[in-house]
Amino acid sequence: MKPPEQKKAGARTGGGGGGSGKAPGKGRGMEQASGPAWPILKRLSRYIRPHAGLFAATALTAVLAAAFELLPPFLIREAVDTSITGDDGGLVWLWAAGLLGVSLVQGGVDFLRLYLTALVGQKIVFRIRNDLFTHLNRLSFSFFDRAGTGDLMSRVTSDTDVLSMFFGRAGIIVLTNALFLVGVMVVLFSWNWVLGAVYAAMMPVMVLAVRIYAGRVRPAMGRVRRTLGQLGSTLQGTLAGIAAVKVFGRESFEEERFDSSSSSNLSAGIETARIQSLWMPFMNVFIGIGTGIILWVGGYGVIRGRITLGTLIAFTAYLGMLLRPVRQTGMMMNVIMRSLAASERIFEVMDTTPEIADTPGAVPLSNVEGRVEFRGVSFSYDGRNRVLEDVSLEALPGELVAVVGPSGAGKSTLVHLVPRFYDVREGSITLDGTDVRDITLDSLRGNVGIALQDVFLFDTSIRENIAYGNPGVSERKIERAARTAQIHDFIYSLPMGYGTPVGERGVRLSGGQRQRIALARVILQDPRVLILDEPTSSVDAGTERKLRDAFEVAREGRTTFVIAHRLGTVMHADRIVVLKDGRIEELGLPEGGRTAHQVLMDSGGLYSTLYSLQFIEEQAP
Amino acid sequence: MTIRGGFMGRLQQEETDFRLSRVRRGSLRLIAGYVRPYIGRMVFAVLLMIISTAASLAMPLLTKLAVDGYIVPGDLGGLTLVALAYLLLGAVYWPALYGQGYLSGWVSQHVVYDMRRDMLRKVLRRSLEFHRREKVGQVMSRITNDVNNVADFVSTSLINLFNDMLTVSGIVVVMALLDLRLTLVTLLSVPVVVASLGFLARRMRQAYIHVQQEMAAVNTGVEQGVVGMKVTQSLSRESFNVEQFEMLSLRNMKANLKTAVMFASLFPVMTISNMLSVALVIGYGGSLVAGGTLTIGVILAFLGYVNRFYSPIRELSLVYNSLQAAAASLTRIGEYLEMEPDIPEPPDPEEPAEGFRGRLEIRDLDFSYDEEPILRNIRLTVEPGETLAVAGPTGAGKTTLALLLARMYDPARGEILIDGTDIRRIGNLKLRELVTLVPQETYLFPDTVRENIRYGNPAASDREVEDAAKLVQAHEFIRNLPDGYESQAGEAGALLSGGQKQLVALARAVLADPLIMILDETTAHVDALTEKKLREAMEEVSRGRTTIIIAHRFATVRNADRMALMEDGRITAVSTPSDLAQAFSKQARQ
Repeated sequence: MKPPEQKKAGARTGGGGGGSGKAPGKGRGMEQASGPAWPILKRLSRYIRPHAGLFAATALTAVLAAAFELLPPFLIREAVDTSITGDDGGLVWLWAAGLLGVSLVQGGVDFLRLYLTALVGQKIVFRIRNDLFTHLNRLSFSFFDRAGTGDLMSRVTSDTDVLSMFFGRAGIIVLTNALFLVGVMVVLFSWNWVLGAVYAAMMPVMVLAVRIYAGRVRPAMGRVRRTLGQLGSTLQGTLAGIAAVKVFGRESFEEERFDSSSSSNLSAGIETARIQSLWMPFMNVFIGIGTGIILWVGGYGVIRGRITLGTLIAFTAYLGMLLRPVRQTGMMMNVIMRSLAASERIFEVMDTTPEIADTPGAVPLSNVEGRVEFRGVSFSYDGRNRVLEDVSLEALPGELVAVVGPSGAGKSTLVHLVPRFYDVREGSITLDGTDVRDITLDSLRGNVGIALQDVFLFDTSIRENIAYGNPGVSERKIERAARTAQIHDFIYSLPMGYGTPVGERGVRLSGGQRQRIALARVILQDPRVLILDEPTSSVDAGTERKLRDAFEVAREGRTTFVIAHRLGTVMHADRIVVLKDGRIEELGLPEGGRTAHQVLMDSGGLYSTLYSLQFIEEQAP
Repeated sequence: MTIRGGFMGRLQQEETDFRLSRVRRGSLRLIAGYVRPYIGRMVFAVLLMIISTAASLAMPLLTKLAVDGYIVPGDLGGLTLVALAYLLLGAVYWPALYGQGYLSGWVSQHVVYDMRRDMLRKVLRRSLEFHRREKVGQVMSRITNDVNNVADFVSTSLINLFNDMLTVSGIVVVMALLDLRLTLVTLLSVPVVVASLGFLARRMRQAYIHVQQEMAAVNTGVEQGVVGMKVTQSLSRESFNVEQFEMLSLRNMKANLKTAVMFASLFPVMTISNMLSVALVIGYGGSLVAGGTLTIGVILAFLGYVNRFYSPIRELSLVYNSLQAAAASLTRIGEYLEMEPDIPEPPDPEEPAEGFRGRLEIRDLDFSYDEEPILRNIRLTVEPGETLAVAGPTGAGKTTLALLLARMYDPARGEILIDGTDIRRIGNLKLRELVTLVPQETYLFPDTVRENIRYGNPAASDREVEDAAKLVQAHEFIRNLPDGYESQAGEAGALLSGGQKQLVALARAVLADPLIMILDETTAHVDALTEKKLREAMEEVSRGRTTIIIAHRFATVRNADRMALMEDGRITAVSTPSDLAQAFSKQARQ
């Protein structure tokens, strides 16, 4: 059972729909790899190379294991022919001791084989998983906008897990089993060609049966998984909307809805049970019947004096040993197919090149003053729908620039371009006159602090959340940042203070409190340019005021961009940018003693309309 | 940043402390109750199992017969008969195995289906209080995973357990009948095998739990890493992120390797113990044959039985594990199945003689969550057709009041009357017709926009759905969606903005056409134009019915007939909006 699909994160698509790029996530659940297997295997083999010695040792144990497995029937044959039916009756305990001795050695070899395969698999998967995660860290925002969290998670965890089966077990087990099956044939032919021929004739039937079974059961199991997934999402829909269900008294409707998914799951389950119970016993039955045939053929040989009784007994012993390898090989072929599909998904992520990276000549910037300039900036997420069009704008060190406009105007996009979360399509953005693309990312993002609108706090203590950007910073600095963000008193009032865990296991924080902790995190970074995306989900008026106060203090001495939804913030801005459909509709600058706000109000454009609609309430009574 | 196992980790911890003795007897009765309707099929499956076991046990006997009776004396005709008998056995064996597997699979699938249906029924009948406490994932995991565990147990473990016991005892009996001395010597290895497998099984389970904990930690780590990626990158902390992950990944690898040691031991233990028995058969049996007190065919039969003996023994040693998992799941399932609806349906529902008109009266209402009082002594009356606004700071209890009015909870003290009838005495379905609540957080089902609106009244025609949308001015934007009314809403369709979702929810409520409408104004800040639209829609919705609006913005409620101010769970003032405007804005500025 898989957990229900994770909620997709960051599903904001700046401009219209469209973004059809090569978004991962589609086509999950397909177990078959789509491309040819060879290049994938070749690429996977590269991961084996560092562990070549270990891998060779493992392969050696596989050969040894197969050889030792062939031995016991040999010994039984000798025991029967020389001691039991022969003359050396006294030697029979010797043969018995030989059998036990062989099995002890075989047990040791098997232990080594199984442990080494696990070791190789784990080491390789450890590497692949870390490589994958490291690569994810290099990918840019646009990638995470498209990809679903649940999808990425399953690539890093379950897909790599499937691979550990591949490297660990599948190869070695298939190798051991193949060697054993071939070994039996060689031994039998060396004893008597008729027996060898009977055995050889049995092989194709077994292989065919395994293939038929796999071919039928796989689609049936796929149907079980799909219907169960459907049932899960139906259930999730109902439970997530339980308030609506109750409000409209639709419990029985939801039961029916669930029932129809549950019924299809039921019939898929029964169909799978039918196929399984028909084909799973096949090998048992076949080996039973096979024993009958061997007894007849072999018995005839014994009567005619062509083979010994010991040979016949050894043959039936081999037959009893066939069950496991044949079944296991079928299972492992399945693992290999799934591994190929999993590798494709892993490599798809690894092959995504980071869109944002340090350019070759990038330099760190020192003594930043904080002058930011947009020159003719255009931007689009998908290459078709323009989200920003020819935006030019300047912010002098220490200035407060308010960005306003209706939702979807491109406000968040505009500020995300400064720390290079995305790169401009046309035009340029400069920090102190240097194009942001010519500054190293570390230096740029160290100087540009941004409090994102969707606050994310890590599942750890408040202290570690604030110090996230500055590990090893002193307690005093953390507290100072919290004070600036107007959250110190609250944190201090908690029983565990700064050590309080955030989230499920700790304190449940309100939206405003989370916002201020995130703000403290940015303040601690002490950036020259501060970008604040005001939260749109409004908190009550008291909290709102606290947030606004926090913003006020935080922006002192920095160039500040604020995406403003509230009048209090906009009124004091040095510049007001009014965006509409990605263009600057109005630009307010102080003029002749009037503030930017007054200038825009007087001009009677979009700003004054928005103002009268939206801010009317704050002015009210 | 330390990332721990979180919820999953704790869950596993509980299971480590699990003791079989704690399995409630009720759990067993529970499962028996679900199997009972299919008892005929189960009995038939058991019959087939006995047949297949007998067939399987007959095969080594045939081998003995072939060797002693025909091969050694050199009788080819008899040998041919034995070979034919083998084929005949196969012809019985296969259908018996098939029927047994199919029937038990069929029963367990039906048990799953029935259990899920009953659990959902119980869960849906619980109040929002229950759903507030239980996370969606938790409920889902009980209805899917736990039920699956039980089904696996019924169809695989339980059946196998029976089958294994049957096989093992059958083999012992047949072997004893063939030769008691050899049987006793051969079985010498059994205690050794059972002890070592039992030991390994326990260790393996612990190691496996450890692996799961570490895997859960990796999952949490990846989730945090991916969801927080934008924060990480904006603060240039990628290398730290990777370091953290590699640490988790390393711990996961170590846990896996520990388990690998157990698994790697399991296989050799089986090989060695199996071979110990074979060696005893050859050694002791061989010397008996040489001594002339045993025939060679018996040795051959014993070799066949030893082969058939060990896989059931292994499974019996391991069955304890799946029994534990199933028992834990059964306990969790039982908890749900024993739940009673906490908003009980009145035994004899009442209705006022002259029918409902929509007069709402709240008398001396008290309510608390987790012993913390939320509402105190609320008294309020709303006349039919009147619009009452309720305003106050966050935490004043406004939303709780709205939920109580829709009987999502029952009050601790006091009563809520509609036209003189206590809402606890009104039938649940009737009450849902009378009162509709539009909650603050809009939820749309993963279905089309049309079906989402129709959710308010399943009997409504397409025309009526569109009329409802028109009334709240949602028709225009819906028509402009790529697939119009057939566009997907909910999570799947991220097409709709917050304000648009709110409009769809309002249309849904309008379609339900209740006498009393309760609107919990959304706090999500939408842009100015949408906000204006929402305000107009809410006014439209309130027309002609008793309406209570939980207000966060003054502009929304300027046109209400009356306004109640709330603070700290009490109503502090009731008057006209214009009278209370000053107080509202003062409160807002605190």
